Amino acid sequence: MVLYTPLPLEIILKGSEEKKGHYLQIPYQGGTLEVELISASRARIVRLYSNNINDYLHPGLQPGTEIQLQWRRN
Amino acid sequence: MGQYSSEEYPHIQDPPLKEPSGTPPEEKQDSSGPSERNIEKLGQLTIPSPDNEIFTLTIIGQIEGHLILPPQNKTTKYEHVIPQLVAVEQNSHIKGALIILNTVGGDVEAGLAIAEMVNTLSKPTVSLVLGGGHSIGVPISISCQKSYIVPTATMTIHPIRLAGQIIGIYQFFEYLDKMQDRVIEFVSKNSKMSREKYKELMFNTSQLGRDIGTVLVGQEAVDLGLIDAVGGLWDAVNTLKELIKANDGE
Repeated sequence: MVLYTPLPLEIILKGSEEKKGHYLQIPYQGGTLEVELISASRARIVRLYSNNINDYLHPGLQPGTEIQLQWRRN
Repeated sequence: MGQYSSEEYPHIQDPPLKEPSGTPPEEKQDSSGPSERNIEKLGQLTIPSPDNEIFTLTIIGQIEGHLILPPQNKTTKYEHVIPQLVAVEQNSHIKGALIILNTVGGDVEAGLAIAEMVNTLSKPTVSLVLGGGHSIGVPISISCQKSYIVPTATMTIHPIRLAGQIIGIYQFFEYLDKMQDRVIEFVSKNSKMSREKYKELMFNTSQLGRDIGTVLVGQEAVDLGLIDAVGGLWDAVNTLKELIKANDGE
């Protein structure tokens, strides 16, 4: 990866060695949501994988959106 | 902004937020006002309401490439922006795209990818540079049919290099030079600035204290032929509407 930016690299990469949070992949119809757990019941969307391009325009599925998780017994 | 419902977005499929039963134990629900929180967190705008036929894409902070940057960076994520642009191309309700830039640059390949996507969009596109459109933000800002810059915005043009690293072998120099050539090529093809002039600005030693390169402020970027005109939000939106009207008339 080559970064092309006037910002010093040490500022950009500061903290990149730190431990990352917990990530989950949650299936939903037609695609997968990658989320980062904030607490046991809340998560933040990190990434969306979908074959339906309109999903990428959906405001509720943008990266950074917080979602509520509900745990269910199978 | 506020609560979004599927009625407000008839051209978009219902939020697919219920997972099929029987699979993993999580189930998620759309929380209230997701978009507001989203702007606060990531600065990414989403989708126009039905009466608004303009799609706004904001390029903010660092353009993130193949590595996730640490959380103190505000980032534009290419894996989301690229499918969004495909959706804009396909969605018949969206007539044009407004690209707003306030970026410090970022990954060369991700930036060029976004620039090429915007450049080859069949719908009218207008860009507006606010604050800063540095480094790889330059190709993105000129990829639109018409580009604007506000009088106070700056654009830094400098060589591509890896901060703090010494180019030890010739092959590595060649590699960086080739990468730089892709940027120069794109700029010279899509703006009124020539290859030679862009390179000259890149290697200017008289302007930056810690680096070589040139800082262009508002009007200067226009005078040198990089950006089409100095203007603000009204100019950008109005031009886009005119381009949409002309496009519809065909």
